[in-house]
Amino acid sequence: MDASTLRLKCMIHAALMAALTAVGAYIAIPVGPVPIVLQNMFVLLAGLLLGSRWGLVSMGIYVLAGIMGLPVFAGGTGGVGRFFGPTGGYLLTYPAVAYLVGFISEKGGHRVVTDVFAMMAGMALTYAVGVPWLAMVTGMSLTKAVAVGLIPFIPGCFIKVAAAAFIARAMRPLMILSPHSELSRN
Amino acid sequence: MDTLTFMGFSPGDSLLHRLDPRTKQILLILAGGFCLNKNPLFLGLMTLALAGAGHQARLSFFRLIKEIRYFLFFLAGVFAVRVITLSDHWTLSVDPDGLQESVLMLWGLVLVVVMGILLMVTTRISHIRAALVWFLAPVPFVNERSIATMVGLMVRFLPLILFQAAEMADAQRARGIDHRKNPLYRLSCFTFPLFRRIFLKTDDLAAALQARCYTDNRTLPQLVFSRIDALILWAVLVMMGVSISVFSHP
Amino acid sequence: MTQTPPILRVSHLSHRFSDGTLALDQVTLDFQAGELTVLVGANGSGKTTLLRHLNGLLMPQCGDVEVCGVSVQKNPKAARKRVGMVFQDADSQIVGETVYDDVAFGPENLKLNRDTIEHQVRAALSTVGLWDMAEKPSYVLSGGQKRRLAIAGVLAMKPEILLMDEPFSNLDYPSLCQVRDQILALHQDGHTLVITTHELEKIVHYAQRLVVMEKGRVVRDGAPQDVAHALERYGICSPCFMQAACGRSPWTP
Repeated sequence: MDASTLRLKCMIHAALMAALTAVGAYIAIPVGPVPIVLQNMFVLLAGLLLGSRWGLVSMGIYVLAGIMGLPVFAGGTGGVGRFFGPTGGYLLTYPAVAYLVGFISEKGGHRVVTDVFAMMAGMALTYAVGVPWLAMVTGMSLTKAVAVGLIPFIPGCFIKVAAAAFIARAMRPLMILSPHSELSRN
Repeated sequence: MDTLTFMGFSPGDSLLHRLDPRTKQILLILAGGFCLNKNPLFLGLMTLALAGAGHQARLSFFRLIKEIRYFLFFLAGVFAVRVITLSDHWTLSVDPDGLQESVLMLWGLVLVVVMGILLMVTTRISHIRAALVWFLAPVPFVNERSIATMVGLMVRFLPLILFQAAEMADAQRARGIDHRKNPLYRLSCFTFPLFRRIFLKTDDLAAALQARCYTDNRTLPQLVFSRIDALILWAVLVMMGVSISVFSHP
Repeated sequence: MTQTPPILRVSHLSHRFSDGTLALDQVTLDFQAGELTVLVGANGSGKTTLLRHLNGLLMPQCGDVEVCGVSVQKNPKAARKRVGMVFQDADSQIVGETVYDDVAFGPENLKLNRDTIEHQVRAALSTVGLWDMAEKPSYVLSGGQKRRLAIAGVLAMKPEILLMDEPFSNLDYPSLCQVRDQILALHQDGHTLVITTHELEKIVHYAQRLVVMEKGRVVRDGAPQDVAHALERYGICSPCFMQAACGRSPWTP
């Protein structure tokens, strides 16, 4: 595969991952009192599967498309308002989170232990920015913001990190832009 | 899952349709940011302006409400959390100081959302992409053209992925996935096949792009910044100035 | 036979996948301008791999492909401009968010100016009867409309040769007729067409030539009436009307 084809495939991966992340906002698995929304798990996976650089690009274009007013928030959630709104802080961290997760995971040689650590760091970053943002935009106290914007999601976070570790292991062989890819053709 | 109900571009000839996409985006960022400043005069003026522009662009009010209904529920929730406090004796009480401020905050947020929808409904996606290239051109280390391509692909594949995710969820429910309570299992069961299915498209997509001579250096739509654009920008800036001078926040 | 040089020339083309499978084995084929060729073969016989060589998506490891006398290897971009390809899965071929944007994608890549693009997009969409849908997002189209959009996306680049991979798969009867009529109209306009299919009866009547592939080799090549009787030997269902003519009723034990 020549360099331009490789780059094109990386671009396609980044675009598809961004689209998956957008869709992830509308996929909720109904377990427990708070349904688990998959979006921030997809952000972690962007870092694990695409690596730091392309993970950053992928989440960057998701955020950028939203800010520019493109219809990336399907299904009745009011477009750009999501970025200015109370949950905007979480969304804006996505590029940095994907980069961080990808970076740590690469340094750790894609081992499960470092992957899990990377994702924990990523989640911490999301909430470290998202919760104060929530408090600031709505004018509620920080304690209240923690109570509604962090605590209910903690169990879900652990489940997501565990699931993402599994999924990344299963997906990685497919993500390598392999020379075998021609095989599927007849 | 609510599939494919979002409002897309609808062709027309209203004032908003004729504005340069860059003007609309700058306005969205400027006025959107300012809306959160909780200035009642500005919010009032903006509401009137948006109602007028929306009416002229033939945006249906009911369609709009339907479009943002989840966001409205969400805002109602935020409002409740903000205003209602739990006192020492485990009774709920309403915080009167917060009430007025919360109303202004919600008003501003709803306006931002409406602005976003107006932008979406009156602007071609290809024009938004061209504007993106224009905005990113001065940014160093960023290849604005490949970013525009990726953004285009993302918007193209979003509905397709949404549809496939819904189809997969149905297929799994048909085989009794609801009986499995282990959340870890449910999450992996859903995500892995979805990701595999989507990423397997990469090779086909790369071939399809190359077959049509894909290059970064492509013809872009022409954007025209006209006198009306300048006029509207000034008008909004004046609105902001007047609002600040009348209602100055401490 | 004609004396004019072929528009598309494949000589001694071989291609081996990285796992060692020989996908194409010494394929030599010439295509004359204006010819409608149907390419058949069982799954894995190398049809798609061959098509992908004809416009430089795959490069010859051995042998050569020439489009209008120019080697694809030397100038893949020129080959891709001359040779348009309609893929089997229209959904992964359509890259534009709206019908118009998708058709404009090719001409935009060729760096044509806006007016020319507008003109060619309009012409291509009118040809396939989708001009009314130009502003619609591409995902709302039906299966048949998507396939026609994929054809329009290629036509807007004004190719002389069109390759179509399984253009009849997954279509209901009316869409199938539309796509077939589209193909015949393009043939009438003088385009050179190479079509792969498993459903031979839908197009063979109009073809000048039938090429049969098996295990990466061309095993039969000739006028449809001369080749069609031998098809079942290569794992290909012969056209229903031919089976009926032999007194057999297709798809019954």
